[in-house]
Amino acid sequence: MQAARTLSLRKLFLSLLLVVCILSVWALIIWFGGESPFKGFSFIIEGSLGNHYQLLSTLNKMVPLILAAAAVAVPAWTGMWNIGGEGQLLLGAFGAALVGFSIDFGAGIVNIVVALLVSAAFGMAWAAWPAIFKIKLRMDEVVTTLMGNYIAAQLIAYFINKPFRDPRSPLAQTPYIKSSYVIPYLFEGSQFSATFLIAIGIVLVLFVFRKKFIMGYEFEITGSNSDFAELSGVKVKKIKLLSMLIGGALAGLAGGLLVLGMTQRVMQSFSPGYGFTGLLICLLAFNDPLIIIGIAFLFSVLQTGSVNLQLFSSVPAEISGVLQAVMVLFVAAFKTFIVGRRDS
Amino acid sequence: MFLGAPPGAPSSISREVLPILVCNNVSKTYPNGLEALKEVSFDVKRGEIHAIVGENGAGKSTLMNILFGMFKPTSGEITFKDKQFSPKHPSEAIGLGIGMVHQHFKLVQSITVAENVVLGMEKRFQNRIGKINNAEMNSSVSSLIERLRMSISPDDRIQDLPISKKQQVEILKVLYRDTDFVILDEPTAVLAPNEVEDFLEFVTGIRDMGKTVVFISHRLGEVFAIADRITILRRGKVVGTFDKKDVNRESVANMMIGTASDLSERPEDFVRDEIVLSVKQISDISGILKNLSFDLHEGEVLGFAGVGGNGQEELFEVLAGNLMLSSGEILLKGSSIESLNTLERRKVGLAYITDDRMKKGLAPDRSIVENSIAGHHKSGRFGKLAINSSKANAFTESIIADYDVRTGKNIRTPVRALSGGNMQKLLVGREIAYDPAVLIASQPTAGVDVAARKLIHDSFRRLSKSGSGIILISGDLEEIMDLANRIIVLYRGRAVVELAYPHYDTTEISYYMTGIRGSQNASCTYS
Repeated sequence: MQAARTLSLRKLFLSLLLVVCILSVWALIIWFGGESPFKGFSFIIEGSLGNHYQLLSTLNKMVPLILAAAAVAVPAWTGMWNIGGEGQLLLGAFGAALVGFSIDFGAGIVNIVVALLVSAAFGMAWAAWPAIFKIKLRMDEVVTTLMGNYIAAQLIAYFINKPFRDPRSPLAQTPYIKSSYVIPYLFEGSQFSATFLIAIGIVLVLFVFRKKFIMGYEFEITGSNSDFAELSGVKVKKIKLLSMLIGGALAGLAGGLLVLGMTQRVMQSFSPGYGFTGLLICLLAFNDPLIIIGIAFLFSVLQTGSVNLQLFSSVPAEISGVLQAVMVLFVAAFKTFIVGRRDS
Repeated sequence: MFLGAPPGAPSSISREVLPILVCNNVSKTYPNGLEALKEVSFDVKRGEIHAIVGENGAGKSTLMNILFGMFKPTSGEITFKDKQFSPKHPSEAIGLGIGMVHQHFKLVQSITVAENVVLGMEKRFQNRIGKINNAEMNSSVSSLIERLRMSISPDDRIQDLPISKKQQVEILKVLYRDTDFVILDEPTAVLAPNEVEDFLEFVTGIRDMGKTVVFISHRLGEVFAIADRITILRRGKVVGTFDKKDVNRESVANMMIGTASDLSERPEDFVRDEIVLSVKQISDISGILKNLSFDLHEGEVLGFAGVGGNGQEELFEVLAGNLMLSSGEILLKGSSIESLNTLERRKVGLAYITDDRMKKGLAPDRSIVENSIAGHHKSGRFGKLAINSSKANAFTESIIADYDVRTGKNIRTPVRALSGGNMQKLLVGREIAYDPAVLIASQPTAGVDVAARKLIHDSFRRLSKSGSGIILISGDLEEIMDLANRIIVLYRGRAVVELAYPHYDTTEISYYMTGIRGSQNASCTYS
C-alpha cells in the first residue's frame, strides 16, 4: 500500500478514470433495465440513505460484510488465501445459536460475550484445519477453504434438520436464542444495534495492529516476502497459522453477531453469501481495514438501494449483484496500473 | 562467399570462412545501473563450435539473451548473416534461424518425443479434420534423429527418458525448426559426469551437420574437448577470442579469473587467537557439501572461493539454519548451534547477507524503514509490543547515513525504488548493525558499482577490526583476495585447498576452482 499512497498525477487520473468507467457502465446497465440512469441512481441513493431508517438499515447490513472482508484480509497480509469465510461464518452463527438456546449464565452481558466467543472459536476451528494442512502438508489453502464452505453448509443443514431442529417449527431451523442473548436494537423501528459498533471497533483495532504492532509488521513482511521474513527471524509458519485463525475467528464472529443482533436463530439459507461478498470487498479494498469500511458501505448502499429501485421502476433488485461485479472487474483491470505490479 | 560451406569438414575451419555473427562494441547497462556488458566485440564463424567462458556474473547470460532477442543492447551493433540484427522478441531470432537451449527444460512430460519436437508446428501433419498423421510425424522426426545418430525413438515418452536424453530432445526441438545457429546455455550443468562425454559427442555431431554452435560453459575440460574457438568474458568485457590450439586450460583459466589486485595495499590484519566459529565435518542432507571443516577466528575474514554451484549456496543455508545437516557439527564460541533456527542463531550472534537481495535479503515492496528494522524488530529496541516509529526511523536514518544509501525521496518509499547498489548497502548496513560475532556474507557486492563495493569492503574491515569473524562466500576472486586472511576453494562440495595470506596465486586458485587441480573425483574427466 506504500505505493498507492504516493500520489502522482497519473495515479489520480487513473483513479478518476476508474470511477468514471464504473459509473458509466452502471448507468448503461440501469438503462438496459428500463430506467433512466439518473433516476435509477437517485432511487438507489434515496432507498439507502434517504432517511434515518434507511441509513440505519444500510449501516446494519455492513456488519457481516465488514467482518467477512476482514476475515479475508488478515490472512492475506501474510500471503494466505482464506476463501472459507462463508463456512466459517455459518459455523460461527451456529455456535452462537447453540449457546443461545441451550445455556443461560444468568447475566445478559455474560451470555452475549460467551456466545460471541463461542462463535469466534467455531469459525476459528473451521479455518484451523486448512491452515494446518497447508503448513504441514502443503495442501493449497484456496482449495481446502473453498471446499470447507460446502462441508460446513451441509453440516449446518444436517444440524438444523435433525439434532438441533426447533421441535415446534415446521421449518428446518434451530430454536430461538433466549431473550437474554439478544443484542438490543438501539432505535425503534430499526434493527440497528451495537453490532455495528463492534464491527467498526474490530476493524480499527486491526488497522492499528497492522500499522503499529511488531506482530503486525511480521504479518506484513511475511506476506511481502516469506523467505526474507524467515531469514529475518520471523516464525513464518506460526505467523501464517495465526493469521488464518484470526481470519476464521472474524468470520465466525460475523455469524455470531448476525444471530444475536438480527435473526436470533439459524435457519435454512442463513447467509446469502456474506463470505463471498466479503472476499470481493477485501479484494476491492486491497486488504486495507479502513478501505474495507468504505467499500462495505458502498456495497450496502447498492444492496439496500436496489430494493427501492425495484419498488419504483422496472429494474429488479438483483441488479445490485451485477453492479458489484462490474466494480470488481474494473478495479481488477485498473489495479495493475494504479498500484503497480506486485511480485508475489 | 562460403555460405554453402560443406558440412562434414568441421575441424579444419579455414581462415576464409566468413563469420555468421559479428558483435561490435555491444554494451548493456541495466536500469539499476549495473553494466553487464562493456563494448563486447567478437565474431562467430559459420560451422564452428564457439565456446564462451567466464565466471558467474561475467556477462554470459546477458550476451546470450541479447542474441536471442530477450534484451536489447544499450549500444553497439550486431550483424547476423550479413544483415543488421536487432530482434525485438525471441520469435524474430527464431525466425532467423537462432535456437537456444536453456538450462531448464521446457518439455511436456506425458507425451512422446516426436510430439514434443513437433509441438507448435503440428498443423503440417494434420489432415482436413484435424487428426494428426502419426506415422508421418514420427518419420519426419526420426529422420532427424538418425542424422544425429541419437539412441532415442520418436515414440518414447519424455517422462520415461533420463535427463541426458531429455536434454537431447530439447536440442532436437531446436534443430527441427531449421535452426542453423544453436546456443547451448551451460548444457552440462544438469548432467552426470558419465553422461557428459556422450553429450559432447552429440554436440560435435550437430556441428558436423553444418550448424554453428555457441557453447556456454565454465568447465574448461569440456570446452577444450569440443570447441574450435573460445571467447573469454570477464566482468562484462571480452578478454579475447582464441583458436583452441593457441591457448591451454591454464591460460584460459587465468584470463577468465583475472590477475590479482595489488596485495601490498592490504591493511593490517585483525586476526586474534580465539576461535569464534568452528565447523566440523559437515555434510548436508541434499548431499552437496561433503565433510567440510574449518575454524573461523575472531577478527578473521575467511573467504570461500569457487565457481558457482559447487556448494556455496548450501554452505550459506546450512549456516543460516535453513538446510539440515546429515552429519557434523557447528560450534559458535564452543556451543553447538546446529539445532537452532535462524532467529535463535541471530540471537546468539550470527548475521546474514544473502546473495539474493531481491528474493531473500529484502522485501522490495515494503518501505526502507520496514526493511531496515527486519531482524532487529524483536530485539526490543523499537518497543516490546508496538513499534516506536521515531526509534525505527532514527535507526533507519543512521544506517542510511553510515552506509551512504541514496534513498531519493524519503524512508517511506518502497525499497524497489532504490538502485541495486543502494539496496545492497542498506542490507549490509542492517546486518552489521547487529554487531554480530560472525557475519556470513554471500556475494556481498554482486552487481553493485565500484563505489558501493568499496564502501561495503571498508565496512567489513571495520567489523573485523572490532573482533567479529566474517565468512565471505563470493564468486569474485578479487574480492576474496582483497579481504580474506585465508581462502578455501570449494569444488563439488568439498574444500579442495586452503591457502593463507599472502600465499595467494591467482593461477593456482583458478586451477582449483575449475577442477584442473585438487579434484579427487577421478571418474570425471570433463570437469
